[in-house]
Amino acid sequence: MEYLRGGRILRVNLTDGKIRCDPVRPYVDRFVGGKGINLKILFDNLERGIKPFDPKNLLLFGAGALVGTPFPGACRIDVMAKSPVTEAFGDSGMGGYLAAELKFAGYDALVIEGKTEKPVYLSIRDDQVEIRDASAIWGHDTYETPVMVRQELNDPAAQVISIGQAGERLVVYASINSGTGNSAARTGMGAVMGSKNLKAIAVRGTGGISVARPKEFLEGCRKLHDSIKQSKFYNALHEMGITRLHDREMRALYELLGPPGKGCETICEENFLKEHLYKRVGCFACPLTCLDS
Amino acid sequence: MPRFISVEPSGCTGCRTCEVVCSLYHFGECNPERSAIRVIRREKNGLVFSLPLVCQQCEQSSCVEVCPSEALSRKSEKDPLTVDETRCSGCGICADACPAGCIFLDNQRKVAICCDLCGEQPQCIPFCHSHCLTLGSGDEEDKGRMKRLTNILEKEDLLESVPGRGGR
Repeated sequence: MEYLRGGRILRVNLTDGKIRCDPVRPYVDRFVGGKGINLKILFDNLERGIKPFDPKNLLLFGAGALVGTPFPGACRIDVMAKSPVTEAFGDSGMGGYLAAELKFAGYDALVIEGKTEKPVYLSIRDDQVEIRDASAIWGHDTYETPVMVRQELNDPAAQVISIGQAGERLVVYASINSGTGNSAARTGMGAVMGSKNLKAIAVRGTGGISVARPKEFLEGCRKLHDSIKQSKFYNALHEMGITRLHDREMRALYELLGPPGKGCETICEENFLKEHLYKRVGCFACPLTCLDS
Repeated sequence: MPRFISVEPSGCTGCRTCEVVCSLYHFGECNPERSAIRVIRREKNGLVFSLPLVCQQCEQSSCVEVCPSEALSRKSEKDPLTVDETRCSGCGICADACPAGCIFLDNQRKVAICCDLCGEQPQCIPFCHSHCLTLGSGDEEDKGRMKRLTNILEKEDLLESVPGRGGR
């Protein structure tokens, strides 16, 4: 068993419904992160000159080596395909819990190829991989879809990512979203997912990731965690999150365009958080928790 | 009264670091399914509810009382609850008996897992960035701490789907 790895690459062919597992071993010596493995698979397997919405285009999800461990901030999944925006290399990424859950299920990367006739979604529960009918959830947005998928699978803890109406209609800049606002929105990965008639991916893993020297690893993570907490930017980001960023952007805009009209003074991060913040939420193992809920 | 890991429900951001830290410390692998602390996390209309569940070291533990093989015990009043793994049959009756489902089953080895406070220094606490987990002294008059957890779970209608009862 490989340290820090799920150990397998899951390949799903939607055209004929074939599911195959490859070992991740040949890749791990040269590539550490999900991006590297994804890029190598894409480089080796993508045919020359195909269109982004061609069934032969590949949609790749890759999780890095540290995902699923307590390493602070290791939560991201990398999404890659030939991009419908640029018709060249497309690469995007998202946080949330999918990457960690994929690793717990025993997979480092997920390769989706082909195209189905009818809308489907993919359900991964450790070794059980199913392509299920999604006619009932087609047309719903990315907040409703995870709820419906979890209900159908009867698993409230499954991690679900999905595309909304934009992805279904092949809007070239469509995004892939989780239920809480993490999105892989660059280079139109949602449209590639939509072109394969794949509505959602639900993952639930119950396995583990082994670490060679657990005590030392834990100690190192704790030190890193402490130093992140002592950073001078930490408190602002932890308490205000992305809202602070938007506030700064808005203020910079006012300086360019002149002062805002009457009544606009109350539009600021403090008021927004006071009135609308339900809870700070974050991604797997991340101490920053920059998302608002 | 033994010390216990005190949970401040409003603080939890649902990052699940405590789960992986716990399993990494005790079993040398990152596996939330083999952890003595579990975060119950639910998404509702884009809002997130999350709450860590961990043994509250009750004085009168219903889990100890119901265990048919007497695997659960305390050395003294000041010590945390321990599981005698040679005796534990993995029946899961303790998990059912705990009002908030704060004791879990390790499905790999078929034994109960319970918070042992990692000796004296719980590993999850320094990793909790939101001051949700703190070390309670156990001396304070807080007999209602289990009640507090069950109240929250009841309000969210999650009491029947806590990890100890086969949910997650």
